[in-house]
Amino acid sequence: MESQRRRGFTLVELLVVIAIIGVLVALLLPAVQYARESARLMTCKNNLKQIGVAFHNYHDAQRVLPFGYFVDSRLNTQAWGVAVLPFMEQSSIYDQYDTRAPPFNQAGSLGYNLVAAQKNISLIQTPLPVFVCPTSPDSISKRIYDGILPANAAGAGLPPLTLTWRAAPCDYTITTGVRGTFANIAYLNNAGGNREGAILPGGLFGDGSGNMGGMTDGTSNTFLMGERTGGSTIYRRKVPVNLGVIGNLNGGGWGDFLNGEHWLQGSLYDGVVPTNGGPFAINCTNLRGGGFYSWHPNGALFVMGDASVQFIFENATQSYIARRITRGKNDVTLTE
Amino acid sequence: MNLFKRVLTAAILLTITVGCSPQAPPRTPTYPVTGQVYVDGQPAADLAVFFTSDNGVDKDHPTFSTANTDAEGRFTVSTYETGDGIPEGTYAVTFLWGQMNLMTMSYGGPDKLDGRYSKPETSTFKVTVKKGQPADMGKLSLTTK
Repeated sequence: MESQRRRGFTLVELLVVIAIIGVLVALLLPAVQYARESARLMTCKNNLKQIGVAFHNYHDAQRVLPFGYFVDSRLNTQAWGVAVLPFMEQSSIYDQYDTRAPPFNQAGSLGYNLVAAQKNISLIQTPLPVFVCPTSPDSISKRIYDGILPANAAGAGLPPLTLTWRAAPCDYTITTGVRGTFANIAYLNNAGGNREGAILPGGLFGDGSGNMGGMTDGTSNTFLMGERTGGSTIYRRKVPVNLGVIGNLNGGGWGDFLNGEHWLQGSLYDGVVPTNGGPFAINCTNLRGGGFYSWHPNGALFVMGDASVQFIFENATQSYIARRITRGKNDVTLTE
Repeated sequence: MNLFKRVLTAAILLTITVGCSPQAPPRTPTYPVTGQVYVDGQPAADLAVFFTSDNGVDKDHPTFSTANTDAEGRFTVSTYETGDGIPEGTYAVTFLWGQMNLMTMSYGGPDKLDGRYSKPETSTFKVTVKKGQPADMGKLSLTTK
């Protein structure tokens, strides 16, 4: 009898062992998830660092920072993401890109070589992992989207006809400046003066000649780029919402010139953006102008003018964020 | 013993709610404010309404409340979340009737009201928000003439 009973385990013994293993796994799993997220955060940080270094290389070669986007009077258009390609080991794409034509399906009607324009459109659909945060949902190739700028969007004749293109996603964006409700709160309702960011538009809408010397608030105190989930999906606190054509206007691609037009006005906590903006700017919505948006817990990554990468918490005050957006408002205090 | 248990429970709850997440900045309590805007006798859609405190901005917890009108000219004011209202106090109400620029994603002039209602100092529209009381501003009649 004795020897027979010792041959196996009883059901209770097995259940106890399974329960103990279950508890141990349950303890371990969150730690594994945390480790994975921290690895993704590291990759994202590295992407921003690469972009920051590319901006510095561009500045070394051209003596100015890249434009946020470029538009001339004949609507030849180019995004910052194209301009920095040769400075981040992507010359193979840049060399095929014809800067004499804008990447629009309607380039022929604007008087440009349509073949060159179509080649450009196919090039800006190249999925480049350096422009994508690994924490963002969906694969890069699934996030290629159709961009659009409706006729007369920026005033009569600008543009004269609806322009369309297709682009690969970019989870990083420049900041043209700060305005609206967010600026009102940050500057206590006294938001006068120059509230522009480090990267300016070039051509019709600005001289695009931002340089390191222009960042009088200090390069280490001024954002070059921040996270804003790209593609054409608009999120409000991680929930995708359908805003129709607004999603295609969101400038969510590295070759999409609208990415370079980004005045921050903030959003409400629930991610809704009133026409004048709101008091929150990080992780509430990725709508252009509504704020910065990442899928990292508690905040988002930014690359500063000195190419250092910082994690800014979503609870940072409006004034703290606005001071980092503006390049020359003389508003950075030494105590920080 | 009972007291000890209570203190322990409170401590655990406090740790869970406060200790585990970074603390959100404090919010000033807000009370709902609604209204309806008419321009030249017609309900005005997509018009922006701003609220400027008579006492100036609260320097410790600055807020700036705004609203947009719907197709019937109705609005509910938002400060932190959609429709949450405005903190206690008296506010000058100003109006801008511009349009959306889809390229810059900004709402702005030219003001169809000609800037007539854009200055808080000269605004004749006021609203007083009292603690715990929703305020309805009723029908606000503006003119372009």
